Amino acid sequence: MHPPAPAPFTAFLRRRLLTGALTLWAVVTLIFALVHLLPGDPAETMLARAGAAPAAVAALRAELGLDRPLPAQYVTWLTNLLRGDLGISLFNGRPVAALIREQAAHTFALAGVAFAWALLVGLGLGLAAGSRPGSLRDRLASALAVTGVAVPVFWSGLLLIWLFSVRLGWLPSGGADGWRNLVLPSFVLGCASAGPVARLTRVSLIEIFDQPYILAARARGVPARRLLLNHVARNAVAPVLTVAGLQLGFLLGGAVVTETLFNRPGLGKLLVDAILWRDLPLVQGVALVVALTYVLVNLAVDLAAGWLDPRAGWQ
Amino acid sequence: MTRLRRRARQQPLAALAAGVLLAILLAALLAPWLAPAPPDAIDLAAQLAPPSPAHPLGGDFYGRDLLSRILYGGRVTLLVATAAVTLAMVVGALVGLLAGYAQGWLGQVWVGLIDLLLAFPALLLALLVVALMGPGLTALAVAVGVASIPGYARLVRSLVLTLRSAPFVEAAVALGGAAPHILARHLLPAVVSPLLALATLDFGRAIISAAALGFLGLGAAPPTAEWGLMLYEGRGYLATAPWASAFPGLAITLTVLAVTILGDALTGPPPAVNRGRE
Repeated sequence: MHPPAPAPFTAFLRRRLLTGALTLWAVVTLIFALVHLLPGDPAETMLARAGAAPAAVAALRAELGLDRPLPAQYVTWLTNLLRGDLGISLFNGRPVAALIREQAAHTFALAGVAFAWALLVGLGLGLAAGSRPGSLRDRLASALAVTGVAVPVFWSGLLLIWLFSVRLGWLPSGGADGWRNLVLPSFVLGCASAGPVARLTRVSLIEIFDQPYILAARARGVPARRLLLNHVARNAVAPVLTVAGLQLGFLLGGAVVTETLFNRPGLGKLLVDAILWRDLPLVQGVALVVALTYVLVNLAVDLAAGWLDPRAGWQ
Repeated sequence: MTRLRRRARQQPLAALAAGVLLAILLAALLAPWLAPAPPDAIDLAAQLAPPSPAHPLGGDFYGRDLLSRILYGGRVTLLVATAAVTLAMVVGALVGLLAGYAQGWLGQVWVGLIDLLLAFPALLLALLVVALMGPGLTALAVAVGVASIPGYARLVRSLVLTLRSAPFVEAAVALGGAAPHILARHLLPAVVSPLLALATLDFGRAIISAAALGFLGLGAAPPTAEWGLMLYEGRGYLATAPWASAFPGLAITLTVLAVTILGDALTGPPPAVNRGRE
C-alpha cells in the first residue's frame, strides 16, 4: 500500500480549521451539558449550604432561567455567548465577562512567562540529555526531568517562597504589581511543565540521530554543531512544539494552583473563588474561557507544526 | 521469585522505587499502629513546634502531631488516587474498546467524545466536576478520575485497532463469536498489561491532582488529615514553622517520584529504543 500523496498545505489548513471550529462548538456545548444534564439541580447545589427554602430555590431557578425547557436554554446560552454575554455573577452581581476581562491579563502574563521558562529549561535539559544518550550528562538531565514531573507545583513553590522571600527577602511572595512578582510563580509553573518537554526533546533527538540522513550528513563531514542545528533540531521542532502546546493547557490549569499559592489575582483564583462561592455562572464563564483558549492555542500549535514540518500533520 | 530478583538487579532504581512505594503504602495502611498519636489529638505545647523526640516531624498550628497526620493523611490521598485511577481505567477501557471495535460512524462518535474530553486542561475538568458535585471525597475521586479517562480510552482504542485484524480475533469472528464475547474474552485480556502500565504512571498524576484540589480547599475538608490540605494549612506559617508544609510536600513528592520511576520501568525501555527500529 502506497501512502497517499501529501495534500497541499491549504487543504490541511482548511480541514484543521474546520475541526477546530467543531471542537470550539463542542466545548461550548459540553460545558452547557455538564451544568444542566448532571444529576442534581444547579440552583439547589448553589443554595445547598444555606439549607434554603424551596421558594428561594424556585426564585433562583427562575432568575437563572433554569425553569425553561433545555433546548430554549441552550439557544439562549449560544446567542448570549456570541454577543460576549456570559451572564451575571451571583456573588457580586457584576457581568461575568467583565470579571474575566479584568483577571485574564494576569493569568496570560503568568502562563506566557511560564511557557518561556518551560521551553528554556525543557529544551536545555532535553538537548543536554539527548545529544549524548547514555552519558552521565544524559542521566543527570533525565533524573532532573523526572523529578520535575514528580514535584507538585504547590510544594516547589512553597520551598522557593521560603528561600527567596522568607529567608533571603529577594523577591515578593505574592501580589501582581510588577515583574518582580512574576519571577517566582512563572518559574515554578514553568519548571513543572519543563519535564515533559525535556523528555520528549530527548527522545526525538535520539530518534533523529538514528536516521540515515544523519549518517549521510556525518559521512559528508558536516561539523557537529551544524549537524545539530540544521539537521537534528529542525526535525525535532514539530513533535516538541506539539507537546509544548499540550503543556500550555497544563499551564492554564496549573495557574489555578500557582495563583492561589502566590496570592496572585487571575482567572485561576477567580475560578477557585467562584467554586467556593458556588457561583455557577462565573464557574461556567471562566471554564469556558480557559477551555477555549486551550483549544485555540492547540489549533495554532498544530498549524505551526504542520507548516514547519510537512510530514507532521498533513496526512 | 528468581525472575523478580533478576529484574531487580537489572533495574536497581526501579527496585528501589518499588521498595519505597511499598513502605509508603504499608505506613499508610498501618497508620493506626505506627502513629505516635491520633491524627486529630491536640497537644497545645506542640503548636508549631519544631521536630523533637516527642513529635519527630514537629507540630502544626493546632498542636497536632505532624508525623501522625502524614501517616493518616497518606490513607486519604492514596485511597482517593486509587479510586480515581480505577474509575478512569474501567471507564476509559470500556470507551476505548467500543471506540476501537465499533465500525463506521459509531466509532467516530466515540473518538469525537475522547477528543472532546482532551480539549480540556485536566485540572479544569477536575475543578468543574468538584464545582458541580459539591465537596466530599467521592466527588474528589470522580474529579481526579474523569480527567484521565481519555488517556486510557486512546490507548485501548489504538491497541484494539491493531488487534482487530490479528489472526486470533479473526478466527473468533469466523467462528461466529458475538461482539460482546470477542471484546470480553479476546480483546480485553490482550490490553490488560499495557493498561496496568499506564495506570501506574497515572497513579502519580492522580496523587498530585488529589493533593492539588486539597491544597485549593476543594478536596478533603478539615479536620481530615490529607497531604494537600496539610500543605494548605501549613503554608501560612512558612516563616515560623516551615516543617508544617515541608513534610507533607515531601511525602507527596516521594510517593509520586517512586510511582513515576516504577511506571517508567514498567512501560518498558525508553520509547526511543523501540521506535528507532520500526
